[in-house]
Amino acid sequence: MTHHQDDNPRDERDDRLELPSKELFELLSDRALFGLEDADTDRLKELLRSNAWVRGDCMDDAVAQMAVAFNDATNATVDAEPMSSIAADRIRQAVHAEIASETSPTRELAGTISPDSTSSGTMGWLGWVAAAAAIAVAVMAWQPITPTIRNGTQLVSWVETHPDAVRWDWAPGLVNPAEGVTGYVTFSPESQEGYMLIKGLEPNDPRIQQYQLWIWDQEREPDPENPTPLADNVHPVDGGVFDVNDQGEVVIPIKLPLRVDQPYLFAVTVERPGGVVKSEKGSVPIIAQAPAPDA
Amino acid sequence: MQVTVEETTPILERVGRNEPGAVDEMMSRFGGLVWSLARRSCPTTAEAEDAVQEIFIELWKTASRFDPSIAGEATFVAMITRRRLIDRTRRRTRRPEPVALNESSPAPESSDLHLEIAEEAGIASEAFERLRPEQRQVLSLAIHHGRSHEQIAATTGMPLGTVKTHARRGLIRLRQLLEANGFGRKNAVGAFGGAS
Repeated sequence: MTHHQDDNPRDERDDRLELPSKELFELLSDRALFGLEDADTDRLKELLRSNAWVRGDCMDDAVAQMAVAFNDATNATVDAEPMSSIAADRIRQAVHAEIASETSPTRELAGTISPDSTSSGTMGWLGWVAAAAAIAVAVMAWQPITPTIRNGTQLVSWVETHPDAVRWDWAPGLVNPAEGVTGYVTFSPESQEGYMLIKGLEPNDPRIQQYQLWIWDQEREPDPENPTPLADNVHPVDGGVFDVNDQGEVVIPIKLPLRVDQPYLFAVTVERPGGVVKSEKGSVPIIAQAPAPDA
Repeated sequence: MQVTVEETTPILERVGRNEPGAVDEMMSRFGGLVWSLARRSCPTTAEAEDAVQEIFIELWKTASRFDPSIAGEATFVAMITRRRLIDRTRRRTRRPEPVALNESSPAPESSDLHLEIAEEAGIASEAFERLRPEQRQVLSLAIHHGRSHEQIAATTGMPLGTVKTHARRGLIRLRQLLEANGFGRKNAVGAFGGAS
């Protein structure tokens, strides 16, 4: 390989250069700075194959170093706004859960979140919930293994054998409420198991969006005696993502990464595939909560 | 002589070997950097948090590929972070609004890490200052503020093609200057040395 860099009389000389693989470096630059469309990605792969002497991430690491420099300079001049400790803890748990799911021999078992769940390969909560289930299998080994609940009849039997379980009907939600949805959510604080029976919720395309369950736990409230689900400092527990098909009725097991002892509100949101860490609650089609005392 | 972190604590190597506690240490040490980059790229705090989770999982998966002869740990982390953030931004195509510029920053990193970052940042800053002003402007908007081609054109008033030209030439030149300072020597040298 011949190097002519020493021949450059000035730093700006390259502006006039016609590199032998100009297109290659342009694509590498575009990818590092902005990302590429599929067609350009294919072209880049082709060029890299025929230019094996070029390291494919040589532009990415230059941009990365520049990003570090910008970040360092900014840190020195502005006030810091750290990630909240709650969010940091949540992310830490999720990362560990994902790692557990990748390395656990129970991965396949834990990955069966829902018979209807068709998404795979998405980063985030789907794997996280699966991992949480894997951890639960390991940590709560004393717990009897419950047969899979696949329909409403089986779920009724399950409820009957879990007298501590709450069982609350679905109601139209808070944002973009779904009318006509029936079914219920049931959850046993003692066994930390639960299921959703849902009828009539609009089927989703898991490539575009998924439903995600959230559970508010009174014991996680700043003021447990006066729960305030919409307050900024209240963080519901992620109950996992799930899909609804057009078969009419679905039964979805709830897999929790954290213990929930006093649930008081369940809400389903619509999120991007894989779910989110914290919902913007842009669409909350259904909720379930304890009936009013005089109901 | 500055002692960089990777000489004493090659945390990514330990993550790559799945050593106990290594992932926590990685998240503790690079959480601020990742959070800061994510916060600049993502329109909401919630999305930034989601991105951070995704990025650290990706780092766990890719840590074994870290090669200290190419770049420092912070650069490797930033590279993985940026790739993920770009992917996420491109998936967010239905959002027409430019990414909000938020000058907020993460929690301060440890002093050891800051030594490493300062060293890497110093080399990059020197190289950056040698670029043409319009190249600096475009690259700053792209790298620091996560702006797209189109957003940069709208912000600066430059034609789209000019933005692309400045971005490409600026980055290629930046890469050359970094390489001349010993950055990323492995395999990448020929990329520019072959030009004639």
